[in-house]
Amino acid sequence: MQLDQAGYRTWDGRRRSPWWSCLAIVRVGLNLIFRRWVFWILIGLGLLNFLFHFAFIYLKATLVIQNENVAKFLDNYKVTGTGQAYADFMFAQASICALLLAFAGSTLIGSDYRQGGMIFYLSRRIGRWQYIVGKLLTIAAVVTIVTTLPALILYIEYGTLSNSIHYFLDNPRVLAGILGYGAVLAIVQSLMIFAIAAWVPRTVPLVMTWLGLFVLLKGLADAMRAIDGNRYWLLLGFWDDMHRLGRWCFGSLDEKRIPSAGYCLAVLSALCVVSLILIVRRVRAVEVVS
Amino acid sequence: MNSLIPQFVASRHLFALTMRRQLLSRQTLACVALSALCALIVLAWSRHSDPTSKKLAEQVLVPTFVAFLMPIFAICYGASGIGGEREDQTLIYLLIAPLPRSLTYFVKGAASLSLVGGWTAGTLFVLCKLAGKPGDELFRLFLPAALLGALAYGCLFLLLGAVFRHGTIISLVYWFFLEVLFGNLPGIIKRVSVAFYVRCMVHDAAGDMNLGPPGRVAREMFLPVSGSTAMITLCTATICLLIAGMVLFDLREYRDAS
Repeated sequence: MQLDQAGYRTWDGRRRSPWWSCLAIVRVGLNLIFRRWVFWILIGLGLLNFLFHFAFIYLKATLVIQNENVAKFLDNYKVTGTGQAYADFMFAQASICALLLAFAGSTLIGSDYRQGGMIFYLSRRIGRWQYIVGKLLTIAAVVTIVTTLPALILYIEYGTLSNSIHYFLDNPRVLAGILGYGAVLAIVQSLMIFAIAAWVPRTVPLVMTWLGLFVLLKGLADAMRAIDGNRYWLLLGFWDDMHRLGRWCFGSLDEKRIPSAGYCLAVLSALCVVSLILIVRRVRAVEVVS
Repeated sequence: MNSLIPQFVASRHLFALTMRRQLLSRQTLACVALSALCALIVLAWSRHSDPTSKKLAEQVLVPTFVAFLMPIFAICYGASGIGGEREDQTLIYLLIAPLPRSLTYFVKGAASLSLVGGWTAGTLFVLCKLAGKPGDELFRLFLPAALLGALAYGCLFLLLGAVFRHGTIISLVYWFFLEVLFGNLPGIIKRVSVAFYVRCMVHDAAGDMNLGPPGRVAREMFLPVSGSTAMITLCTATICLLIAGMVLFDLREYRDAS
């Protein structure tokens, strides 16, 4: 049978860089996740915290007009427009995001290994770096939807409900903090979940490894610190390292307190490099079976 | 009578096959890794000044073992009992076997629960041994509660794995929202969580140690039930969940079986 009869034909258009394929991978990946009702349940549960803050900020804005003392009382609960409040909000969102990433890791990465999606992707005109970047961007988009986007909406709501634009002008660090903390969460978590899902593609061990890293390493860090009071052991808790770095972005981290933001950054950078090495070693078009 | 013997033999083979497949898997490696991390925490804790049984229970065993490791073991082997077959698309082979569906579910459940119970008891034993003298005392206090809790979790996650396609993720959501969040809320809402009854059994068994949640307010708002009530609740929940799973597995039509 001739090739043209089989539907093959030449492409005369201008070829674009293969890096554009990353966007297609992101689109397909997000569609894959958005189709699952589990994702929407997780998003719904994740948004409960956001709705609470949203309503509380509105309440506070109303009370400021009627009675400023009540508004000051509400400030004690930190549900306000301060950097610390946003950092705590994003930290709470990040814990829900961890569950979502367990699902996303299994669906986006694990299923590519289990069902041969990897071979399909790498048989196209893209290299493994395009595949890796596309998948990382997809996971980062999921993290951003759950953590950064709600925080940005709260920031805009708080600024809009105040009587002037002074809130935006006086608090540029808050905006930088939201974007910075969001970037930390997106980069570190996407690299880690990709590395774990690439080596442990099945859902159950993936979930166990992912949660174990965050929960038990923090427990180990606390136990080691309590032996001789050496606070550098706390660096073992990656979850808290991200939170400290996030608080530094907001300007609410006590710089004198060990471990400092620099140490946290160094640990998280090392973790990202290790994750990237693990990913690159595992993303191959051909699997050698011994 | 003649049809019972082949069914028994088939059930025995299914039990052995399930045990082997579950045990020789990556999730077992993950269990070993998590248990090793937990053991490191206990070893680090045992080097603290003045280690006591009360501190071991409140600082290590309840937050690390009861709240995290035990449900994770149950998710590991419980949710993957039927859920693993669906994920591997081998459920069709299970369904065409000449066994009643409810019996298939029961046998798979028995194998999964044996592994959950075995891992829970084994890990608790190792952790208590590593802790030294305080651990020896706590092992016998924690063992009944841990076993009953693990079995209840195992039955629940087995059911979720059989009913939902993403049973593991649903189990995880249940564990996080109902066990971790609701379990720490004040008032009686925490009575929907398995961990609450496990804690009640432990607190009741270790009455002279005065165990309880950290902080005065948390203790006053804990509102525990008696140890015997907690035990009866856990046993009833385990049996009900197993029967519900058998009935649902028998009735359900799996469109994604292969």
